[in-house]
Amino acid sequence: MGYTRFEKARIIGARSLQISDGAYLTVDTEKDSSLEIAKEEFEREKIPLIAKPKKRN
Amino acid sequence: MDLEKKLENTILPPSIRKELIDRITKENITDEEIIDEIISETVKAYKKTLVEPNEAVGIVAAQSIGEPSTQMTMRTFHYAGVAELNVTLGLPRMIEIVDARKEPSTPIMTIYLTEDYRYDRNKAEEVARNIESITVEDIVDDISIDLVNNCINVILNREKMAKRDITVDDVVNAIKKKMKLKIEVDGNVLRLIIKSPSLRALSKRIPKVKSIHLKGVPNISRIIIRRDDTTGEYVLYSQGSNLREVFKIEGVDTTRTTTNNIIEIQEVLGIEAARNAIIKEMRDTLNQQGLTVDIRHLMLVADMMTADGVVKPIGRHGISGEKASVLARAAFEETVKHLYNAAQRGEVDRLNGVIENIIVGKPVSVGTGCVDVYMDREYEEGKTKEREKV
Repeated sequence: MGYTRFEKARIIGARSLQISDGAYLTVDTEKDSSLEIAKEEFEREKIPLIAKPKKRN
Repeated sequence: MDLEKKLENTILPPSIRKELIDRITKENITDEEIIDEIISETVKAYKKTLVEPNEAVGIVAAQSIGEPSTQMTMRTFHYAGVAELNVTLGLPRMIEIVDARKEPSTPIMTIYLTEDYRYDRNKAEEVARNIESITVEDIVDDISIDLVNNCINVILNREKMAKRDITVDDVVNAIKKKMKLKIEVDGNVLRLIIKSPSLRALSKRIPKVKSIHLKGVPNISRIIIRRDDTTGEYVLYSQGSNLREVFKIEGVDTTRTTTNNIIEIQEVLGIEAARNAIIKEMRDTLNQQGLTVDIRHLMLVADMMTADGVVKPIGRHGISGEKASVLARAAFEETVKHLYNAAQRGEVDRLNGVIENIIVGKPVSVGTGCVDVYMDREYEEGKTKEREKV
């Protein structure tokens, strides 16, 4: 079904932080902002993360 | 047929499928390609209207109803729509619905008639006469205290009685049934004799005698007959409401007749009917004020009010006051009371709701807060997989 906009935001946010902290990129890009890179990775479906519904107690 | 098969694999709900088929056949579109495009566009538009998982629909509904409500008239009464019928509208009516009052301040019924009755004014009037409640007050010239004989004199009006097909015996029996009295009949005068008469005792009983119900449906004080210009049928509007009794009257179309008393609908027709009534009443109230609110917000409110099987109010004694979480209840009203009780009983709060998480300072459980991020194992293991397109 694809991701909802909340999942998308969460994934891009988490990935952006990883990139900002120095993670290796999964795409070749000229962009210099971690958020922009994360967005591009997301567009190309290269982010090594998956979103799941939160576990409830 | 062909169309139905095509739509079978789409996510469209049956009602939209049917509408689409109707429209396509009506417009006589046969070109396969165009039909495919219409369907795909419809699916796209339908998906756009869907709410995503984890969206905070409650707050959106609250805002969407609350904001227009501030624009509603604060005036309690209004004479609108039906001539001479008094209807509560605007904000007071809105509050009434949401509070799930036992009885609205202006109960009103819309009574539709069966096929045989609905196009004939005389027959409609006949039904109206059977429904309209007649009390002692309606058929008397005067009710007064007779100080000489120490009794109450009820002076009957023969004409009024004949018009409504009521005999003196009917009146005597009705009064006897409701009150412990001795009644002497003297022509048009009924003498009501009580055991220990005094001026106070007599005058106390006068309003009681006046309101004794003789004929028709109790609680329905007035009926107005109106002709619907579009369908040409006669519709009755009543002041006062008594769904169960009105349904028993001959000539009443029980499938369409309705009332604005939601609790009564719940008792007579059931909870689903009550849900629909809540939606309809709220929508009508808002529309009457010239406000448009998406019906799905109203549906959410109605669902919350009826989900337990009984109509319950929003607020202290209903939805907010019965929440499972202590903290959520404490955040609403009577904080200390709820916290004391919870402490005494050793209640546990699982912190599942939104308010609880705000109180303890955790991310709330809507929107992004409902998503957990995990490592993609297949990526870690070096497998590349085709991920689904977003």
